[in-house]
Amino acid sequence: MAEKVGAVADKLVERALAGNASAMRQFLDRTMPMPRGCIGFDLPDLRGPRGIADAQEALIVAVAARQVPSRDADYVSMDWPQLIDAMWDAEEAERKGPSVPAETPPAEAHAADTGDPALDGALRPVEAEPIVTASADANHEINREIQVRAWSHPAVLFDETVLQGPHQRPRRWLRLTWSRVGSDRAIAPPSPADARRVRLPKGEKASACRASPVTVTLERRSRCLNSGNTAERRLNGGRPCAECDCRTGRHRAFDRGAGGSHRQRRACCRPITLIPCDVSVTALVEHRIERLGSMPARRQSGHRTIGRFPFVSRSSKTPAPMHAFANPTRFLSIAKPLTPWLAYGGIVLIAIGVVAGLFFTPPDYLQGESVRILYVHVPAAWLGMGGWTGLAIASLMQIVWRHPLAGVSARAIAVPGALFTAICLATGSIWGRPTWGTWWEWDGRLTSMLILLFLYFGYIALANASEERTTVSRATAIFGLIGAVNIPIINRSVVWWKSLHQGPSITLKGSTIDMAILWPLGFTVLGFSLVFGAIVLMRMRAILAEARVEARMRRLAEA
Amino acid sequence: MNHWPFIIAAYVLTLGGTGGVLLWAWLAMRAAETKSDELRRKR
Repeated sequence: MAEKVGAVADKLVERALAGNASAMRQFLDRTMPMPRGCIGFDLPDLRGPRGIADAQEALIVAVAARQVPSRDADYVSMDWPQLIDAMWDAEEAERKGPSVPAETPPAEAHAADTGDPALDGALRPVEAEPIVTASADANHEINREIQVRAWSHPAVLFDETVLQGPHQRPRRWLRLTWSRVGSDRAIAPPSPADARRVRLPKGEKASACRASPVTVTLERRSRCLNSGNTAERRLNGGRPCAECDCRTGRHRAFDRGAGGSHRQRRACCRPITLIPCDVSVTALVEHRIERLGSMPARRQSGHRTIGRFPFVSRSSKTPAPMHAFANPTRFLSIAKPLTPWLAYGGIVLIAIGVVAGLFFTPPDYLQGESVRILYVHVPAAWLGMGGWTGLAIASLMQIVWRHPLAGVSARAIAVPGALFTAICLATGSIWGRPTWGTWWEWDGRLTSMLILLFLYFGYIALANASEERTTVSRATAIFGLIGAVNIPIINRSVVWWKSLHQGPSITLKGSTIDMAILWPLGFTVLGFSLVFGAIVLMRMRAILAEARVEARMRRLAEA
Repeated sequence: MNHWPFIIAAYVLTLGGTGGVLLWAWLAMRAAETKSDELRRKR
């Protein structure tokens, strides 16, 4: 089964490469037509007027389907570099433009799709026989037991090896989907009870299930024309007016000819002619991954939980805004043009601030000329602390929401954050020599800032210890989150421990620095912040590109 | 005490460090994306 899902993914990747987005969508619609996708996504989420974006997301889903058997898994295992690789392919396909008109009839497209006999064999859930077809005769039977051989249905695609790790216990459910014979369009089940989910045998592997068919009971309920008073029956005009329970003893007694009162007859059903008889029942196997064991144990077992599947919202047709930016194409479409703007804008602002600070501001009445170090020292301190704040936010996003780009951004922030913290310490030391008469003083501000630098070093070391380049380990993320405790300590250190370092000069209430000296600081703070942003974006782009190369090399090696 | 050597040292350190890491990030990004594009073309 895993090979079949892989074949689907490969086929979709090829279509994306060929720029055949519309055909790819048709292909996907045709091969996976279930309202509830057999590889774990809602197809209606993938349809719509958004064109290539849908195709890209479909592509991602298909690629992810190598390891994602169910959309209901809260945390899925997926190969993020492969997704990136696929996304880039889709991006390239979009740039090339569609090579097949969108109006291509499905029949023609199908003919084109069936070039690969092996693949055709794997992708025919539409033509596959329904598992159970409830015929008119079958409608006579109430509470008829059927044997649903779910594993024999082509729609049931799941990767047993992924689910059967030593630290995962799959829970499989059988869900019955009702549709008309010859149509893939779902209809409402005759009653809510018929749409129930049936728990599959616990503790059995899929291979074991193949030998022991699952027996489920179809609870068929029908509609009644006889209920209600005469006016209501006339008003209904022969249409079903209400549902009633066919399983009641009253009904069975009525069927056996046991009679009953007129009131009882009214309440009973005439099921055969009143319900659509041409319904088929399709069984889909759902999986829930139950995470067992500690995270190190799961990692050791090869299970990598990265996050909730980020591109298809489970509750709406549009992904959550935060996850929308997890789409590499979407992210890069913003990051690529933004990077030079940030870099050039930052350089210009820094140049203005530095020139003004060096040549156009007066010396301080107390500190003299050395006050000009302010224009580089304060931005460095701001970015050192702000960098760790951003790193902590990214760590939180990774831990809580499992955002795929959170680890990338945290990893990208760490190095420039450490650099600016070191610059802050060095320029502060240089500033202290003519002002305080010493290079270093173990006061609260300097010491807490030095601790921040060590925290950066520790984070970088932890992040680099992981083989994964597109994320950081959970322990690293927790470290980033806990390290944020140091930020308010740095901020309040000059209040809590008064020493050589001056108190807070710029607060929300105002500044104790004269505006004649202060104004270039705005330019340098903003300029260095923009440059910091540009560096982070560049590093993120580099990490993503390296990940894509790694994924492509792996795919080529596997091929 | 003449403050300007200290000022110059602080500015050189800051601007040099910022420029250096900016250049390093840009070169790394360009190298990675170039390699990625080359791999795509080879395919």
